[in-house]
Parts: sequence; structure tokens; C-alpha cells
Amino acid sequence: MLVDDSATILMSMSAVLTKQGFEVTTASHGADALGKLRSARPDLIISDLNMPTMDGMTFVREARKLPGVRFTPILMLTTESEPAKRQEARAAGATGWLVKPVSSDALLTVIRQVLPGA
Amino acid sequence: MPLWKRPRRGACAGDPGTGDPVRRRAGHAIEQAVPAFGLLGAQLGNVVRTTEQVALRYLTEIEAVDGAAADVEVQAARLADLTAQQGIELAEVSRVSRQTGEEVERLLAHVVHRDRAVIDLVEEVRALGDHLGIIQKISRSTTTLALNAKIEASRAGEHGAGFQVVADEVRELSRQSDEAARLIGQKIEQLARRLAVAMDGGSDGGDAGAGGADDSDAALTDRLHTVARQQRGLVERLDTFASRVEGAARELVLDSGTVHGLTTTMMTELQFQDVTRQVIEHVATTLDELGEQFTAVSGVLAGRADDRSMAHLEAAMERIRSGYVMARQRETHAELTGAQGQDAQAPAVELF
Repeated sequence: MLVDDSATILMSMSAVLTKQGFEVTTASHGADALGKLRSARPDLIISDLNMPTMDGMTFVREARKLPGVRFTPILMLTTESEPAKRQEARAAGATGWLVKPVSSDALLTVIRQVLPGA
Repeated sequence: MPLWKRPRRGACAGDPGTGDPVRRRAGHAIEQAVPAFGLLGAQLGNVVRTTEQVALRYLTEIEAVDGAAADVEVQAARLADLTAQQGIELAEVSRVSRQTGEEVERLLAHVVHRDRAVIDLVEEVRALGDHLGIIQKISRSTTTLALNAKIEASRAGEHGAGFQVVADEVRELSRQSDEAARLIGQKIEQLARRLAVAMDGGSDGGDAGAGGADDSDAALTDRLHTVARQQRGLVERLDTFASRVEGAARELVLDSGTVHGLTTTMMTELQFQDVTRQVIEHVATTLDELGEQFTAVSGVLAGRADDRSMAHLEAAMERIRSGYVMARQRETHAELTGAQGQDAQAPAVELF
């Protein structure tokens, strides 16, 4: 599942992941993603940090409360790089942190690390 | 002391309604300029929307290229497989062609051998004519002897009558023998002629028409050898061509894979639009805030508001800095303001 308020990010990252054989669901902000998580069980969530309606940090905290998402890897994909933000995300339950723009190789390497079967 | 808190010359501090003309004009000028902030913010919004539209169109085109490359890869792989199969078929054709050539050569050898046997047979048949000549010579001698016997019988009178009859019979037998030998000789000659005609390719004596002179065994053998060689050469050329096509198709498959890699990279490069969008949105938001602050300043200068409405102006730089969302913005701020920069860069990718 991709969560980002940027249409460009959603389309481009979806295209990259689909080419690699992944099935991709998208959401445009945290609340949208939470709604979809009540019925969907993605193997991996990649979320932006700065989003309207519900930002990424709040989304991660709320998502970790859902039974089926407690152990789902959640990667933050964001322009933000401040160490304090990273620690906050880690404390909220994020699995990893990627700074935009991320190369396709780096993205796929991290995905294979958190999803060994991928 | 901030500029806007210093007492005005020629006026009582704290008296909002007695601003001097210069201040009123300054306030009025600022009021006129404030809309520019909103205008700039709106133009920046146009930039964001335009780059997003372009990025999305670009992505659509990249996906189309990627799809076309995938189709090319599939077709190239299929072509390579077909040419590989064709190579296998050509190898089989080559094997059969070689076998056919060997069979033709064996057949030619057999035919040549058979033709020689027939030629020998023809010669032996003709040789029989010599024996017939001897028989005819004996027959003529017998006839002469019978005539002489008849003559002697006629001299012997009535005592030679029986001998004359025998002489007549002998002469008749001799004549029949001679006739039989002549007929056999004719038949032998006809047979030998027919065999010779058959050996020469079926023409009934004389010239067989165009190429008749060339339809000798040696010429036919040469022609068949030439045909076999040309057939093998053709098969080899086809095999070489098929190998080249297969090689080109395999290279095309690899090139298609390269295109896939390039399009994937191009898709991820479109993240630039989101990065610049966030920078521009921050600038637009800041311009809006500055516009509000300058509106407050113009109100104070024009005597419509007190100086507390300008309280946030001093903290503008801090609000700008706190709104940054990426390291590059903070680095630029530190360079231009002399403020302390960020700590050492954290890694771009980190797993917790």
C-alpha cells in the first residue's frame, strides 16, 4: 500500500512496483489509508510523512492499533531527514525511513530486506 | 528596540490617530504592495500544478515505452525461439540432403555399372553374329556339296537315285539352315540396335533434339553432382542466416531488458516533482504569512491598528525555518542567515 498526497508519487512508485510484480493499493492521506486497512491486508506499507487531513506520523500510530497491521512493515518515504523526526517515527512504530528522491535500486533493496519472499 | 516600537518624531507615542503624512503614505504604499504576496503565491501554485501535469503526462509516456519494450522483448524472444527451431529443421534438411547426395552417387555408380554390363551384353550379342556367319558359310558349303552330290548321282544313273534324293534333302536343309541363320542374324542386329538406342537415352536413332549430345552418362553425373552441391550450399547459407537472425533476436531481448531498467529509473526520477512541490508550497505559505504581517504593518502606519498587531513579525524567520521539510532547505537557510547548520547528514535509507 502506498500512502502519499502527491499524485506523481503514487503513480510513479505504483508503476515501478507493479513492474516488479507487486500488487499496489494507493491512498492519498493517512485517514484514507486507515479506511482501506480495515478490509485490506497489505504485506508492506510505504507512507509519506507530510500529508493533509492525517499526517504520516499519526497514521503509523493508528495503523499499529489495527490487529492485522501490528507486524506489517511500514516504511516512511519522505523529503524529511531530521534525526528527531526519524526517532519519532521509529517510536510510533515505523520499520524504516527513506528520503526522497530514492532510487529504484535502493527502494527495491529495502523492500526485499523487509519482505524476504519478495 | 524593533523599528516599529521606536517613538515617532513630532508625535505622541501611543496616539494612533495622529500619524504624520510620511507614515500614512508608507502605510498606504505597503497596502498597495500586499496583494503582490498573494499574487506570487498564486503563480507559485501554477508552477506546482503545471509541473504535476507534465510529470503525470511524462509518466504515461514512459509507461507506454515500457509496454512497447515489453512487447518487443516477447516478440524478440519468440523470434529467437522460432529461428532456433528453424536451425534444428535446417540441420535435419542438411542431413537429409547429404544422404540424398550419397544415394544419388550410389545410384549413379549402379547405373554406370549396369550400363557397362549392358554395353558388354550388346557387344556379346553382336559377337553372336560372327558365329552366325560361320553357320551361314557352312550352310553354303553344304549346299555346294549337295549340288556336287546330285551331279555325281546323276552320273551314277539309276544306282544314284537314292543318293540324289538325299542330296536334295541336304540341300533343302542347308537352305532352311541358311534362312534361319539369316533371320537370327536380323533379330540379333535389331536387338543390339535397340539396346544401343536405350543406352543412348531413348532416342530412336539419329539426333534426340536439344541437349541430346549432352545427355551422356558423364554429363548427367556432373549435373547431378552440381545440383547436390548447390543444394548443400543453399542449406548452409540458410543455416548461417538463421543463426544470425537468432543472435540478433537474443540481443534484442537483452536490449529490451535494458530499456526496462531505464524506464524504471525514469519513473523514480519523477519524484523531483513532489520534492519541488513541497519547496514551492512552503514558499507560497510563507509569502501569504508575510502578506498578512505587512497588512498589519500598514494598518499601524495608517493609524488604524496598534502595534500589538505586528507582534509576530519578528518571529517570521523562525516560522520560515520551522516549516522546512527537507535538509536542503535548512542548509540554504543556514548559509544565508549565518545560523548554525544541521548536524552530519543522516543516511538516505535506514531500517530501524
